[in-house]
Amino acid sequence: MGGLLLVDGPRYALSKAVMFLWDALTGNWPLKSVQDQEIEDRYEPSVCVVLAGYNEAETVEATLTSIWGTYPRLEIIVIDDGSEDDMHCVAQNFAQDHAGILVLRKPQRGGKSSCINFALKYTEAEIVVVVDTDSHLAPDALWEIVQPLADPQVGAVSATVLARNTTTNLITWLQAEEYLHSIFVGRMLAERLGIVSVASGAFGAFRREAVQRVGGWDVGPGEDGDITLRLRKMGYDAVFAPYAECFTNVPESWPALFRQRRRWNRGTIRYKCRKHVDMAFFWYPNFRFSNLLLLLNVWFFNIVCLYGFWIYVLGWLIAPPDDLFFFLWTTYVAYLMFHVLQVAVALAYSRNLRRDAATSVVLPFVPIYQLFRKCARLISVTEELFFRRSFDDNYVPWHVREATWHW
Amino acid sequence: MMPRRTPAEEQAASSPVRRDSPSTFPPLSDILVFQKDEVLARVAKVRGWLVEVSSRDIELEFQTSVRFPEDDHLVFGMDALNGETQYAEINIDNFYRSSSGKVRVVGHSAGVVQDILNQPLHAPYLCPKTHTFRFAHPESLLRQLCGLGIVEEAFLDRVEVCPNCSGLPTFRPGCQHCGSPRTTLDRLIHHFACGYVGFVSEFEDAGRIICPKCRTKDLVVGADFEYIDGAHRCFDCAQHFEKPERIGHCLGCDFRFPAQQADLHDLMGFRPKRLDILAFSPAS
Repeated sequence: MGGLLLVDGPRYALSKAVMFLWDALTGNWPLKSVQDQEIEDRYEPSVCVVLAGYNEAETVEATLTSIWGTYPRLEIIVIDDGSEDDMHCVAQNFAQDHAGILVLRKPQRGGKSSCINFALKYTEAEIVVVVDTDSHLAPDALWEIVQPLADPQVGAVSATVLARNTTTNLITWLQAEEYLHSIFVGRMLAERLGIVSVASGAFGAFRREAVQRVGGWDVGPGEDGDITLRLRKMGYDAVFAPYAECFTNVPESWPALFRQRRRWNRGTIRYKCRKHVDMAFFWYPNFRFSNLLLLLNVWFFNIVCLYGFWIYVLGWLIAPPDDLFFFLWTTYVAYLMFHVLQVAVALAYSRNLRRDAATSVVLPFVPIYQLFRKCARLISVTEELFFRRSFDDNYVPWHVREATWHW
Repeated sequence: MMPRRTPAEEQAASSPVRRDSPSTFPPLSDILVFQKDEVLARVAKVRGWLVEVSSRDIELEFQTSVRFPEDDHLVFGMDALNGETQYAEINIDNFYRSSSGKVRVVGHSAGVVQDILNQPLHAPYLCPKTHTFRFAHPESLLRQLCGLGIVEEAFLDRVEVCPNCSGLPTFRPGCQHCGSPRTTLDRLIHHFACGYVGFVSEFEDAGRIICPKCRTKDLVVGADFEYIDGAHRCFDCAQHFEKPERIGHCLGCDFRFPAQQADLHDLMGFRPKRLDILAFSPAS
């Protein structure tokens, strides 16, 4: 068990450090962004941004404002998923004064997947970009996210999602710090290894033709990860655009954060241990080694190491070591050191040093926060592995989750 | 040298009512002379009297040296008992200087202004050719008369007209992009199980409802799927939009425009202040 911890603990820090050194030695650092390109060299496909939301009257206008006019060949489709508030009216009012926005409404809530599939019927754009209605984009985010799609092999592009409400309280600040490492740098690393497994629902780009070939989005929760894996199975690549930045509101309380993490973790198990487990079947014609690596990564670190950690903790509780305090303190300091290394790597790649350095000042609390995450993960992984609890999640309305297949 | 009076005029002059000036009729007020082409020649404020009225002729007397060419039209006003100045027009047949040195004008009731004055209200009509609102008489003349106080403007109605030609439009729901009324509302199906959303035609297969994505057969509405109203689609420009817009189509120039761009036009009429000159003729 201790060996597992030695692998799990420093894996991010060490692998990111190696990535940075590799980039520095091969001249790949600093990374290029769209700002470094000549305008005529930029890839400029037609883009359809889909905003699907339920009861988002308060945020949809700000989201639209952040998107409209930031890209030349842009259309926006807002789908109101049967909201009970004024979301539809707010979006409609915005659309009256701004060209290229189509606002549609569903009669009853059907879940995010059905909304995006609905929007797909009304666009001919080459690229479909999904943005959460409570998020807003950086000014050049659309430019950044479409650049990797110049390669016809790429089917999905993941983007950097950052916290918008960083300074609200310690919980949001810790999440902001986490997003910086797990998304901004973590996905950069995943891309190097060819195992990008999710183009976030908050901000992700998809090749429309590819999405239509796989029949659009399946029922969620976790539909963003699901479609990314289905595209990978189809032979498309999923990549990461680190400087395509999206800012989203993160949960502001521990219970809300716990619910969110349960949903995320359950989705991981549902899709990577059940629905898309065939990605590991080497005898299948669409088998790819990178897909197997992706699954192995999840199975080992998200399941084996997770249970290993808690068994180890259980061992402490049953038979505490004599020098428990010293042991905990040493572990804390060691973890902190590894995390400092991660911060250094994140700042090395950052294009907004001041912001990202400020986000990282909660560093001393991060080990404690990691314990919370591990608790949430243990509960959600266990309940999904054994009870398929993701199908009880009201993220998808009852009539839809009852009708869909329980993978 | 005063022109000689014709025998007919002499006969008219001997008609039943004849008074020497100053007349017992109310004095005349504004004197307006119109040329034949209905263009106002001059306006004068001179002292004048109605001297004689018969069914054929009207004789007026003015204390002026102004010349009144024959065949010109003279519009004169007279203050009515209600204080309003009312007007009549005569076509000048003759004029001469009387023994007292005043100018006498003899004419008969006629002319375009009299035509205008003879109608109780001049309302615009819809020209069948241009589908614009027009008046039977030149609007410029009516406005000119309005400016002189001979007719007064009256509000009749407020209508929406074409912003391009002021023609009368028709309104209909139509495409937000091109204005075409040839639009249709898309009807879609949302299959709950696989999340697929597609047009109804994609699901219909020989009378059965089959999901084109997951191939589940014989879907039941409510339990397996729901109908969704999609966007409206234009057959002419192939654009789609949430709701048809109220589109104006001008009957005059065929211009299409969103209804809110229509010009609001006040339909004004002109009500003449007519002087019934025959009321001054003696009863037979």
